[in-house]
Amino acid sequence: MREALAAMTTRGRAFVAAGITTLVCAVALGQEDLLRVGALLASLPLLTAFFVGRSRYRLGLVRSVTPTQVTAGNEARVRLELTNDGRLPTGLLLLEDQVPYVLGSRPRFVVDRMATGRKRTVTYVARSEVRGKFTVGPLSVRVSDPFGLVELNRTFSSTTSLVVVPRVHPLPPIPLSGAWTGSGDNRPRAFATGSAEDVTVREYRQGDDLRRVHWRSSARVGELMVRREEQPWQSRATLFLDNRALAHRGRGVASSLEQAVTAAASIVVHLVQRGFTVRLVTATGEEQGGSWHERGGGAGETAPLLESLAVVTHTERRDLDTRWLQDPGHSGLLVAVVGAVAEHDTAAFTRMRHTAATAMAITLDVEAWGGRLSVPEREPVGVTRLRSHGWQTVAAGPSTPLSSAWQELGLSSATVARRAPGTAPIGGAT
Amino acid sequence: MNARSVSLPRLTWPATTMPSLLAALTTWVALWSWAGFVESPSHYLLPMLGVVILIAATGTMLRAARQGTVMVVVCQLAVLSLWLTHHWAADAALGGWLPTPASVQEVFADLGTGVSASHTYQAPVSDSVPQISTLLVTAGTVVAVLVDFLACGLRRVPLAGLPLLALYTAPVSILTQGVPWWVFGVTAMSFLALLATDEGLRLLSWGRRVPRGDSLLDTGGGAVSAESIRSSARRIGLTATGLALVAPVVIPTFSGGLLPGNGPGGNGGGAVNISNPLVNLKRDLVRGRNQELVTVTTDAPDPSYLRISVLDSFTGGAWEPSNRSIPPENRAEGTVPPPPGLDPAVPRREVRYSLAVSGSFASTWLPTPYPVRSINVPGDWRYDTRTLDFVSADDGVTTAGLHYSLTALDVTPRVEDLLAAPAAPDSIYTPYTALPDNLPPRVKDLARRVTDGLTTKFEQAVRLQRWFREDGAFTYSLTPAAGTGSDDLLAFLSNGPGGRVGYCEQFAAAMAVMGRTLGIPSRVAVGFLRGRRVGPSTFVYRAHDLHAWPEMYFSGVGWVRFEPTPGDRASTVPGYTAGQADTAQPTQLPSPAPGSTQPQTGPQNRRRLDPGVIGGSDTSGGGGIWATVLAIVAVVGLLLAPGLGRAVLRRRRWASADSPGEVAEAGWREVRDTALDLRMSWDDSVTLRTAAKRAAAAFGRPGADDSNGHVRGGERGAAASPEAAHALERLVRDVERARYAPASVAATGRDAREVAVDVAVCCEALRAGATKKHRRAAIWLPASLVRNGGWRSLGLRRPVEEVAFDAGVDRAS
Repeated sequence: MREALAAMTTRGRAFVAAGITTLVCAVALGQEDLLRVGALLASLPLLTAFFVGRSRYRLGLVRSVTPTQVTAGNEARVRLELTNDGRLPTGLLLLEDQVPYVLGSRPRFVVDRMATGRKRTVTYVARSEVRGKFTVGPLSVRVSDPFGLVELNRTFSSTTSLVVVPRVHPLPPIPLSGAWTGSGDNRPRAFATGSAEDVTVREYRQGDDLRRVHWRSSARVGELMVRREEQPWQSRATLFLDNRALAHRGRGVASSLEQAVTAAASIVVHLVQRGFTVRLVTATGEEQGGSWHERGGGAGETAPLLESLAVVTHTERRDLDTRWLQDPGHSGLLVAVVGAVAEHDTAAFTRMRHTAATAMAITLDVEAWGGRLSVPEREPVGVTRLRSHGWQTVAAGPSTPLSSAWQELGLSSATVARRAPGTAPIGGAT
Repeated sequence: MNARSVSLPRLTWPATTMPSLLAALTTWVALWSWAGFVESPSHYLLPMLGVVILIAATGTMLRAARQGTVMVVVCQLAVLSLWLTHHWAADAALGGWLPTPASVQEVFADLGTGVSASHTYQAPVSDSVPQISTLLVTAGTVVAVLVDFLACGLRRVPLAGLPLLALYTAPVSILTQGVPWWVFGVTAMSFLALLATDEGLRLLSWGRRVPRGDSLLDTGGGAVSAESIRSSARRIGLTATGLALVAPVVIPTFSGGLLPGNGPGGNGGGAVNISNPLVNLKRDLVRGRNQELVTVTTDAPDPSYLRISVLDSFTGGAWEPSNRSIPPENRAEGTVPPPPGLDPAVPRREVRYSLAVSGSFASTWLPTPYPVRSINVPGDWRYDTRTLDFVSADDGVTTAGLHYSLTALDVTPRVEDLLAAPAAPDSIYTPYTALPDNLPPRVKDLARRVTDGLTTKFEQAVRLQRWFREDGAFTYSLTPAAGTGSDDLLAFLSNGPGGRVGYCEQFAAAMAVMGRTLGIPSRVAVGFLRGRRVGPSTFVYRAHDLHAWPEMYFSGVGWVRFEPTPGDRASTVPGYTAGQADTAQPTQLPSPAPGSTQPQTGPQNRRRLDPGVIGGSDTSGGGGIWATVLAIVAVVGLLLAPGLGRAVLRRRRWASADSPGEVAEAGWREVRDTALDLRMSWDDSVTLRTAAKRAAAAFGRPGADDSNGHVRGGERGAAASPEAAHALERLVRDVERARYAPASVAATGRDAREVAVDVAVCCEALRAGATKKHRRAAIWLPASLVRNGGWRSLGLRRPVEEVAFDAGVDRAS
């Protein structure tokens, strides 16, 4: 009741004030007819508050978002399952789900009376053009009153997050070398069965062939262990994304950072599809706690990487965090998506180049995002700098299709590989 | 929100169809509150029905065509002007419909007449002035258009309440009997329905509608009925209207008003602010129905000139009663002092009167003949020694339904005494010849001219009377507006057009003023002219018998009345003024105005009594105290009844249990009822053990709960009170045995006292587990008395949670 009184709308308060004024005047002037008017005006909001405050709805809500990860521009369906757990039927419920405005206007629903134990399902579509991780919910319930005098809002607590990942462009296959043979694709190789010395085991999972049970290990561990049929050798690739604010130009969706993120996402998906285990590194260091992404097979494995990319924002730091270079086992393919490369960055990029077997970079011509109008003939300075430190790199502008940039990168990679087979292509710039 | 947002390419019923119909209905119902203004309410209500229907229909159609708000109002006004022109001035209109300058002029003339009639006549205005309904319809139309505009055009229904309130307060301030309760009730409900309908539309368009169908498919935008809104609107609306209707009974008002009226300024102790009975005189006279107001039984042959009040002060604006000095000793009980100036030698005889005043005549002045010798009236009526009129000293006491008896003097003044009357004493002369400074000198000139050549005051007075009645070419008519101010008098006395036409009020006032200019102490009396004989000695005075006449003072005789009103109203003059003793008068009087009407007489009085003078007037305390005591006892009894009933039930339950089995059952029922009292859920359909388990889950630790009643952490459940849990277990076993193995009970059944102890322990633990609120509820309103099964309808929260929340399920309550 007190809560409902506090929730009185302006109209309700005006009614009470007018009613009390009328009552006082009526009592002072001795006008019984005015007294009625005053009593009506004053009692109406109070009665409404009483009835609304007395109504105790117990509502259950199950919220689900499908899919939980959606590419920018695609739709996700949010499904709200509302149940009346109380012992009373509800009145008209006004629901409003609190979603960020980039997902569209806040969906509102008018839910008709629900009997006890009944369930209503409402769905709505959330769609964002902007990548990011968005909190969907909580749902607020407005308890309606018939005269608009009291507005009681109750809010559920649960929220769901919806990850809107950057758009992914399909990339053409280009020669990639995690090793330095330069002899085409470096695919994960099947583990030769029978080499018992080399056996690795894992726990038995339902569906495993009984013949693969490794009894010796099982006896030692006390649980069923099976031989792994595949060698967990991985073709590893590191994707470096330079997300420093000073390396990029432009703001918001139209910034070069967004283009870099899109490129990084496309490359991640491409690499994963090519069988690489990919880790993501940004200017602030490694994402996701530094572990190599476990291969599970299928497209779903890109999800954590894409989710990381979805929330990448620019950082204010000036230099690059290169501690990740000290981790063991990071050698392999290094693909970088960089913006402007300043003079003081070259040391870091050189170190990156040295630790990787192959270092490829897409250098964004960030000045093109910075409002420069004419397209220069000269390549951006970043390309020159990286190339001079042994990177294979191409420049990409706002209008360059990512696939063609990737294709070009592949071509330059092939050139470098041909020119200096078996050696690190230091100083291989043309 | 408005009709446009539902943008369909074809005409549909706009969202505001229902509101505009309701707005029309509300306005029309509210207009019933004006019924008291006129004799025949249908004369304005029927046209208004047409008006509101036209407004609603025009508004709905135009909104369906998605016209702008202002456009709708303009079109509504145009349609209404056509229709009203046809209704009122069809002959002057073009083709009977189109307004022409002539028809507009006609309507405005009617309006002017209506306005002046509303100023002239007291409500209810008789049918003889049909223009009054023109006025009412015009005003009602304005309100109706405004309401429709605010409620449907602007969608601001609460604002539409303001014109309705104005409409409703008009009669509140004008009519003394106010507005019938049912008019208020229906108007309020209609207005609330309008408010709820509009709010319902607003709510429904708040978001996507999820219909009632329980299908999992999201149909989106289905039909969500506003029924749940409507049902709660009905509940709240009816309750609020009901409360409002009984509010006047519950909330006392200061019936006379806290704020004193602005009567003549007080001049010391005993000042009374008195209303002027002259104000309503004309309205009473022209009112339709000739209501019987006073019945007199007397042994006088012709009881005429029954006085109500004396207007002894002429301010220049009007004749008014001056302040009365009515100390408590002037109570109208027993003998009244002799009238001022009456010499004992003047012939007189005592006449007995018994008067009965009708219930519809609520005056604070007592109708009495003059002069009264002795009187006996119930209630606190007091007289003024100078005027000898009787006024109610008690707030709210009027003559309505009053019976009283008195003895009066029938004085027959001798002409020679009057002619030889010496000059009036100063105490009479000064106040009763006082005239305002701004009195036009023409009045005095005229008085001089009329009485030219006459020496004695009495002769002058008689001449004045004759001048008014015969020589002055005055015409009796009720047409002129009421008023006795200097300007009104001048107009009345002037010879031009519209002059010398008036009724008793003007005649009496004019003669009294002219008498004062001549130095004759004069005043105006208001009362009944003459009754109609209905029995051998019974006379009835009616509304149309109300009259005003001048009284003039002559030393030795006192106040003597004159009759300046022409013969077609007052056929005879007092005998002493005609020079003859014959006072035989006809008893029949022509009715001045036809028609019939509802009674409403009696000035509304605003009095402020000096508490020092009338200290002991409040004697009505005795009965009130007893009523209050009774009311308190009843209220306390009502409050205590449920709790006492529960205690009685508990005692009887234990007392009636004889066998061990019955004792166990009684104990179980006691536990169950205690749980119900504490607003816990109790399902009778589950097994004993399940029920016991649930009850045990609500146990609290006795004595450890008072600090925070509603924050109940780990202190609940069977662990909180192990002894209670064991007691409950024992009790359940007993009941199970009693139910399923009755044979063994006889052998193993426990003593009733032990069971009672167990039950007490359980109940104590249950109480400890409940919130303070529920404990209070258990004491004052034990639910187990009402329910045997379902306390559900009250919607109270259960302290026992039986649903374990799923991980993904969120709850808001």
